Amino acid sequence: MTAGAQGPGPDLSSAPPDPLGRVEVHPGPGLVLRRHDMVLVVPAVEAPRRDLAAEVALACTGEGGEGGRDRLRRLTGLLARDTAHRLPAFACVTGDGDEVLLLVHGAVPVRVDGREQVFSMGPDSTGWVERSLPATFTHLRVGAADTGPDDDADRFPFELLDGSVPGSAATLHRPGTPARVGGGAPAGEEVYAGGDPAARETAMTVLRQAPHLRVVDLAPRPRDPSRTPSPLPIGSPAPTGSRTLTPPGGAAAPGVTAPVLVRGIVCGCGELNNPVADECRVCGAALDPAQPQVTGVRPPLGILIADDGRVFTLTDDVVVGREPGQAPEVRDGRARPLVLRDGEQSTSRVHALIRLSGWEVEVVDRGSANGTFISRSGSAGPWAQVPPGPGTPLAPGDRLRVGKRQLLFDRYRTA
Amino acid sequence: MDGIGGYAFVREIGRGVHGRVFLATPPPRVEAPEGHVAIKVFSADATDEGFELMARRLHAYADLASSHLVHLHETGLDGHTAFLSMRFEPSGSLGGPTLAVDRTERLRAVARAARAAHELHEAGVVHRGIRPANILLAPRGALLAEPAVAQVLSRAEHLTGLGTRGDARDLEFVDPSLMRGAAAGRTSDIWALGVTLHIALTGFGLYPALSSADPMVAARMFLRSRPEPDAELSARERAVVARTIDPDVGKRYRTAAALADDIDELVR
Repeated sequence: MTAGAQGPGPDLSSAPPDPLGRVEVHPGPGLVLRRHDMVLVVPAVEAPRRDLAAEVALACTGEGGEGGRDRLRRLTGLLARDTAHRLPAFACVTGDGDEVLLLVHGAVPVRVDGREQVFSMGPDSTGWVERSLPATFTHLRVGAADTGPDDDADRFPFELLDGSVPGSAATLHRPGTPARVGGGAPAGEEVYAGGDPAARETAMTVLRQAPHLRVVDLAPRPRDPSRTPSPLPIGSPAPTGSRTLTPPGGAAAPGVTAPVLVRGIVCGCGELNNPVADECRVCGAALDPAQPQVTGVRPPLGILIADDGRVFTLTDDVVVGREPGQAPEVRDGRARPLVLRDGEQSTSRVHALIRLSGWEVEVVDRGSANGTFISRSGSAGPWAQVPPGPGTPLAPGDRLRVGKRQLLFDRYRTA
Repeated sequence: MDGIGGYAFVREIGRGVHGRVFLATPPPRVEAPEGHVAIKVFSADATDEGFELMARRLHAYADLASSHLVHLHETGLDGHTAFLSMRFEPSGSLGGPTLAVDRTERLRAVARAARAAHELHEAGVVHRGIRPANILLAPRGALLAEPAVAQVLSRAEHLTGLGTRGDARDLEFVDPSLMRGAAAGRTSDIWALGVTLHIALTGFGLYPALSSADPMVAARMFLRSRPEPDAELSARERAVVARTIDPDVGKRYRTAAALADDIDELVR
């Protein structure tokens, strides 16, 4: 959006001087982009070079210093790459004290007060020219206007304060030169429309990389033996064993960790149990501690229930917090993230770790700002703070308080 | 938000735990003779990997081209937001019908959903999301909506059917054997069909107390109770429901098609 679309322009008679003055855009198939002290003109953006034009624009506007020389340094970095010969022609003008710096790549004509500057190069040249000009000109035009030199008629009747618009050329009027037509002023009335920061805020266009759209057509495909799936097995499915922090019945998401093997004893019902347990964790039958131990895939050690109703089977370590994805063990795929947030940021980014150790489940506070608390009463409180250091074992029914949020650890029993 | 992926939203028509559903005008690439489509916009940020996994599952559903399933148009990823467009079914769902449906229509709808589940099972797909809200009422017969795919979208966190808004009543559609680490399969979808059938017969689920409790208390109750079909049901009705929720999964219906046959018998 530009000033012209925002209604009457503000009173700018006391506006501070602007390094580049008023910028007007000539229509065309390219791109004109402005920041406070910089104007970029890409006179033509052909379809195959759109990504490269975007790279040029991002080099002008991106990270790494807002000064005019910083911008030019990023552009020359881009021009020094192997792909420079594919970059579209462009010119960048930026203010630097009493001077205006100009970088031109390819065939972009530049006229200063009506006089053509001679540093244009061939269309596919990989070279570029940098010039500094004393800031004494009245009009500086970058790019070719269709209607001949100094013809005002083809310019859009508004100025570009900030952002990007389609165009083939830009004319810069030094501060103090009168505008032809103001943003919303009556036609013919001349107003000064220099760069006012407040006006810039209300008239901002924002350039960003357009989101990438992928679409998959779901029309039924012809039969293909290579992807003919097998029917699901009939009968009781095998236990999945240790996989992930998985919602009951949920599929494993990408990035699954390997199953964990443990020693245990097998109940008559076929379930692997902790060798020191008195009764089966699933059917409740008494277990004989003298029976031989076997090695098997560790079953889920319980369930975590969040206070918002989410339920997770506990098959791997879990990092709890506002942004648990930042925890190194989550990034490495050794633990699963469980996001717990509230409006007051009472939970730390990485607040607590729920760790599976053999057959035990324990909680470790990860240096959270507000601490992690445990209630063993079966209800919410009394709360005891989880001490720093090694893990605090969890028993079924224990509640954890993480900031203002709560989690319940429990087990399922067919009773 | 007023559109995504070239679709222009007309109005919101549903909101689930994994995202929102809109009535939308599709872009020209989509052939929708009705002029409008339903588009589901998922709330979780999707990774490319997660999106591909979701698209594979949806293909497996759509390739069946079954009269028991909803017609899907396309799925897409706009930035990090995944969407799925499908034919708009204006009659609502078994969970929220736009017109009154009687017992026979409700049972026929569950039977068709069971046949749909069977077709998916035969194609190697577990649905994982069977519940009244996912059985759409179409004039030509009820349709089972697409399988639960939202949880594969993002590596960040797996969501359960309960979602962050925490409606504990959804918990009852989850086969408790999954909480012990059993893999989802035919029997867990049959459990969900049985709970859905119970709601179609009685108007309430198998764990009525779940609706009153806070989510953590409700989950504890769910973990500790063994559901029984409502005493008011006829002996035949009770027998069918009981065979879907038996704690011993070996005693449940072996296939969803067998369940569908028995539900059809209840209608007669």
